[in-house]
Amino acid sequence: MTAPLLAAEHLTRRYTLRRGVFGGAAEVRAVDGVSLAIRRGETLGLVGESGCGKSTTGRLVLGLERPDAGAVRFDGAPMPAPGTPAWRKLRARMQMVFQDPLGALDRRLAIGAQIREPLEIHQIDTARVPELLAAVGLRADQAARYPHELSGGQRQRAVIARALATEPDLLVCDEPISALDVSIQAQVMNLLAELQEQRRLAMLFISHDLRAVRQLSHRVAVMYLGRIVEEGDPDEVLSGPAHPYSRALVSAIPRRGKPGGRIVLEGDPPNPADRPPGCAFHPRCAQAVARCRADEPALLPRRGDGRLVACHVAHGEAEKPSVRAAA
Amino acid sequence: MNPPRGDSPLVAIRDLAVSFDGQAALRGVSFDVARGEALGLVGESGCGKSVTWLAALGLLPAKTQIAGSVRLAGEEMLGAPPATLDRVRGGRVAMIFQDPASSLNPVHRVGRQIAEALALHRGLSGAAARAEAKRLLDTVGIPDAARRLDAYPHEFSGGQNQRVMIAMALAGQPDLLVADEPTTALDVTIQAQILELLQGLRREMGMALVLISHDLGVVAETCDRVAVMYAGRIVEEAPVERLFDAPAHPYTRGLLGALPEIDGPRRRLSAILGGVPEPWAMPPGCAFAPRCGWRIAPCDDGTPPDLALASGHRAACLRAREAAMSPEAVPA
Repeated sequence: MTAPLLAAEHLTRRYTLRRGVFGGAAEVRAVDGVSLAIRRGETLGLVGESGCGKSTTGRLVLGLERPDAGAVRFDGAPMPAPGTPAWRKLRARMQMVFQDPLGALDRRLAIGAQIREPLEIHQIDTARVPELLAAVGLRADQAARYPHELSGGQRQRAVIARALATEPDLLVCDEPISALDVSIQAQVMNLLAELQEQRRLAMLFISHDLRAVRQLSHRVAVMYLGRIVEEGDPDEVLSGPAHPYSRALVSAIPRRGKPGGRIVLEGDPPNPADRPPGCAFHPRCAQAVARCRADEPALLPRRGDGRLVACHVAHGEAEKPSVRAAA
Repeated sequence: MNPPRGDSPLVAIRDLAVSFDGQAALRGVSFDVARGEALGLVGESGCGKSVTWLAALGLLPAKTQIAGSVRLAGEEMLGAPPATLDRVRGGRVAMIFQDPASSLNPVHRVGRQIAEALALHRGLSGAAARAEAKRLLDTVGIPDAARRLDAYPHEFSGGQNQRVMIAMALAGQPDLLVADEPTTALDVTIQAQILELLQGLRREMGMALVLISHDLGVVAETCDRVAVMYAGRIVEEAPVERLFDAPAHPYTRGLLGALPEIDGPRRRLSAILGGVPEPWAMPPGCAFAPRCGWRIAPCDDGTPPDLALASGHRAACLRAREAAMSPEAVPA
């Protein structure tokens, strides 16, 4: 087994939120002890609903934000402090693709110039622009086009071409397809899969769309309120989710046929500033027992198949007396 | 056209054409909505699925050119006097949109906003309106409805705001609810709640539902019938099972092939090449021809007519009969 290209250990990111003008400050743990590892040529899918901390996790692993606790290691070495020359150098090896290509591109610059920019910054041969355009399925003459002259799918291709300019080893894609139409989503998913295979990229694919995550990922991690609650092979997690939240998420996928036995979760996603004690999911969980209200479950391998899951019930330990498992 | 069996359709749209500044957004759309049925309207951004209903309800700017006919229970809506439209909108036909927060007035309590709809369409006021508003919030599953009547939209979550919008839509006891991407802005688990709610309400109230969506999965599980739109026209219409089992139009087949599976072997997605044509650069014949793997010379000669393929199933494609026969995916 090769060492992972990216390894994040116990990442935690807190924000302070003021409640009203005179209210006290509340602490929001956007990301709360997330550990993940991605090898070269591997895609980790990160799924969860809005506010679960999946985007913040993406920003933390790139060093765009500093964790309050925990550490990121890239290619075996600790991540240098953001803004330092060492960090800037490393940033050439890790790139990000965002949800909204129009927001990620400069409207006043032709896309060719925008793809050339990272090449200039990192002193790479700028003659590579046509090659990059071809790699993402754009024509060489489209380099002269401005973002508004391209379709949504072409814009996202331009963003991906720019991200590939520095020949990165890691690509973090944050909801790269959710702003696109269905047929265009398929184009971009196919492109990401091809590029990943050709270039043996390590990829963190952040999405709320379980279909897309299954299509592209080798492993999937489900996040809920700042924590990974389940992690495993996408097919195994989708066909037999172990965590009650993953079960609800999988059963909520709209699909053909009238939904029989769909688990419709009660209530709304909880407020990260008002995190329930114990297992954060317990107020919405039909299986919750007394222990879930008091004791926070750790992400541990399940007996039998070794699936990583953070749930007392899934571990068959719901009835045991409260023993805090080492995280 | 396949008029629904039994009584006359609730809504009959014929040859509806809409253009903005001379540029066509709808290019002849015809379909019916039967009483109590759930019809899905599917297509990608800009295909005209929302414009169809905005035009039908007289919600487009005055300078928009609109032609054709929209009949609601036999009564013509296009060019109808404002008084008629005011009675219909929110009364017989209600519409909800993607972003509930921007549809609600942020400075008024939700109870007051629901009461306003009740006053307008049912002549209720005072305690009667408040009691009915509470009943509606109960119906749409807002917990502690009596107290929540006095809350402002920002005090509700996105899913709850959409429930409030549905409550307002129900205030006029509509025969038809048009839901325009009602769950697109919501999380998956909340989407499941709202779809469940819409289905339940439709069953209980016998109301027809038009669900406008880009998501085939959402339409597949919610609707009885589906119409697929492309570049301002309906390219295929079929009962939902039939559309998924024997899609005939290459565009429909492309859309289905573009959707990743949730089980079974992973396959390369059949992405449709290229993009939607711009309204000022419409192809001369079939609008889908430039992206179509089944294109033949006559496709460029003119807009393909609807071919009836089975009961309730039609497709506007010269090769629809062949396509519906061949089980393998259309090369796109």
